[in-house]
Amino acid sequence: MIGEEPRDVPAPASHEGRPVVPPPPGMPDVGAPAPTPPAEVATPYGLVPSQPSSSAAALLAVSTDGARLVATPQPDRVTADGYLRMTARVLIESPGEASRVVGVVSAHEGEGRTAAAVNLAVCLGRAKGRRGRVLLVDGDARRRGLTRLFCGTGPVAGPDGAPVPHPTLIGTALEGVDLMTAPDLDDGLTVSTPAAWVHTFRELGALYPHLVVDCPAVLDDPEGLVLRECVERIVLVVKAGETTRTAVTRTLGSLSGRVLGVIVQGAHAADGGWR
Amino acid sequence: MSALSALVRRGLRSAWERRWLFAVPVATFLLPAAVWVVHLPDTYRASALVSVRQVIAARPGGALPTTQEWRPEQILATARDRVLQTPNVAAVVPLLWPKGNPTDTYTLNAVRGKVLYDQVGDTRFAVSLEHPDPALAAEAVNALLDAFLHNEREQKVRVAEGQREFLEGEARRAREGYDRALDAMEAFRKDHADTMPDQKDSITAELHRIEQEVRERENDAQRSRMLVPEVDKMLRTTVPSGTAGGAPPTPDEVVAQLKVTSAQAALDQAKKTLAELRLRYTEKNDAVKSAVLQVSLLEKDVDTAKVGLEAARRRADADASSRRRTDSEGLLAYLRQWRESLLGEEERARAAVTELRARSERLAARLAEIPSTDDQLRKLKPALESAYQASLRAEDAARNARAAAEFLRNGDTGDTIGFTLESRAVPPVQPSGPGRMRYLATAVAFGLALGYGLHVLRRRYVDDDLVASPADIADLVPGALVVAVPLVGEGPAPRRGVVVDWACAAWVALCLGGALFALGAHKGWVEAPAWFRPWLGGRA
Repeated sequence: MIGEEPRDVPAPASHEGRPVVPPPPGMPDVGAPAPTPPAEVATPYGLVPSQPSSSAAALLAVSTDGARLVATPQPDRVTADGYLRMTARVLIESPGEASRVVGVVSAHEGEGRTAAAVNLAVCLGRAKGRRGRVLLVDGDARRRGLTRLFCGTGPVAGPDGAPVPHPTLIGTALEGVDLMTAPDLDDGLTVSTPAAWVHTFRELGALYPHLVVDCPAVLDDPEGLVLRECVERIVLVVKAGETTRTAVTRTLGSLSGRVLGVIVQGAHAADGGWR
Repeated sequence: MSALSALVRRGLRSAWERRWLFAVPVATFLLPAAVWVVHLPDTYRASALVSVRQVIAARPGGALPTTQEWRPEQILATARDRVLQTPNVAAVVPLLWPKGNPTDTYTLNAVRGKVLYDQVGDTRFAVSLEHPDPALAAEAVNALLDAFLHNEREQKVRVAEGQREFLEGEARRAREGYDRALDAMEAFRKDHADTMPDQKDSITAELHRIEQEVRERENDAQRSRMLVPEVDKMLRTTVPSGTAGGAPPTPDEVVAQLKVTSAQAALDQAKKTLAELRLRYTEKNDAVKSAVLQVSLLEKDVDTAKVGLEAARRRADADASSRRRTDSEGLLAYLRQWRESLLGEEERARAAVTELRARSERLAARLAEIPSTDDQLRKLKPALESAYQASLRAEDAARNARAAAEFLRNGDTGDTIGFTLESRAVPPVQPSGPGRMRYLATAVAFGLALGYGLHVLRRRYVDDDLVASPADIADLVPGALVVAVPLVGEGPAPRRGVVVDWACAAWVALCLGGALFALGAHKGWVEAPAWFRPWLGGRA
């Protein structure tokens, strides 16, 4: 709860003896359980990422019920162009080998933030040959959108079949993308401390050149306010026709200088002036 | 894709996205408007045509000011207000509203609102009135125009009557002035009856006559005085009866002798007077001419008297008898009596002369006063003439005013007031209203206006704050990359939007269907249900 002593973000489980995440029930094709990774591609955490599949090359969207990722086999040129431009911007703003923590934020829920984070991670993961793998971080401990998409609602079973507590790192079928699940909350009122997130990001940054954090809605969840302060760069997601400029201003606060880019969902760039 | 087609597509898409914003208000207004217009009864417009022409009115009298008559365009410019004056409109109230109060302002204004005025060309205008009853509409229009023409005529007649009364008063005063001048003249004539200039000639003639008579009287007196010694002489010479002597003259001889003597004396006196007059006057003077004539007459008298004396002497010689001689006593008595009569005549002649001289003096005095009277009369005559002329002019003006008033009262309206009712209103056959299509168009316009208003409000208070395109947010994140992507893989449309779409479509369909049903039932295209028939309007 805001105002109470925030709880530290639990550190992800060690990769030592870490089981491969089995596919949760109802997981889409693109989220199929990753096979055991070859030894030569083992991460420092010992995480074995999933092998890319043909369908994983597509852009993704979250289903209406929020339980599945839906592939768009042939994304339109405008959509692909938008995410590629955003990816290029992230890469340009990340010179050298320094890790970059990019937070995907939005003002309210339902504005396409999770899908934008997944697609951005997908696009960044395809550039792994140059920068390494991308870690997709589910920062929304209450909604657990990414965790539910990739792991279902139940606990994650380890290689030995024993349940693994959240948060944990799991490999995904998405090319070059790993996922850190959201931590389990004792209750719905706890709020993480910025220091805990900064510490976690620093630790994960040593392993991944890029962290894409799916932040809670800033104006709906105080956790979003905390994460907004902890990430290095911000990608703002707004929904055309629903998000107001006032909400955007309040969402960014004084951090508009950190904004790398804005993804306007549901708008056509060519029709920007029809109103 | 050309810029025009892109613009068209964008406009169509924008209109489609806002279809319910305009369709719902339009349908919402259209349904009650349709139900209302089918309820309205048919109205009939009855019209009457009035022509206008300029009336040139002559001034009935010079004392009145000149009035500028209005030209036709000026009359037309004010005709509407004149037609809609209260007395005219009040005549229509009992027809349109039998229980209405013709003096009530609101009622009168209601009538004014129903009367339509249209100018037709440059010299005519039409007055119309719409009413569900065509006969009543025509009757109301005719009543209005009849009242208008009547009141216009009365107004003109009032003005003419005022002029007539004024001019008749002026004529009466002028006549009284003339009467006063006449009275003054009469009084003057009465006061100066003996010295009026027109009596100058008669007085002068009277003076001459008196002078002549004075002379005659003086001659008579002179002759009588001259005969007295002759009579005395004859008395002395006459021998009384029985005495010796010659034969006495006969009475005829004595009388003839006396006549000769008298005539001779008168002739001498006349010659003397003539000589005196010739010393004072010329031969052309009337007195001289009269004296000359008198002398010639006296000369004839003398000759006649002498002839008579000779005849008397011859008769006496031829008739000498004793009887004549024995009458000497009678002769003496006769002579004495004659002498007395001569004396009396002289006395009377002198008295007459005295009286005539006095009268002559009075006439001379009157004659002397005539110039003064003439001067005073000359001063009075212009005033009398002026009063007479003024009276004539005033009478003429009053007569013209009476004729003008009578003409205005009974003449043709076109000649008197300039308005001619060319065609009276007749009950129309075809209805002229109500403008149902106009009402429906108005409802549509109201709906569109309301939709536009909602659109404007939405743009101002809702849409302006919404982020609809990258351009709307670029200023908030300077330096950031703003990309626009479609909603990837979005599922079916939100249920709320579908519900709204269906609800709006149902409402629009309901309203349009209801409107079409009402209009079709009114036109007879569809059979109206029994409960709806009483609501339908039509011919009253």
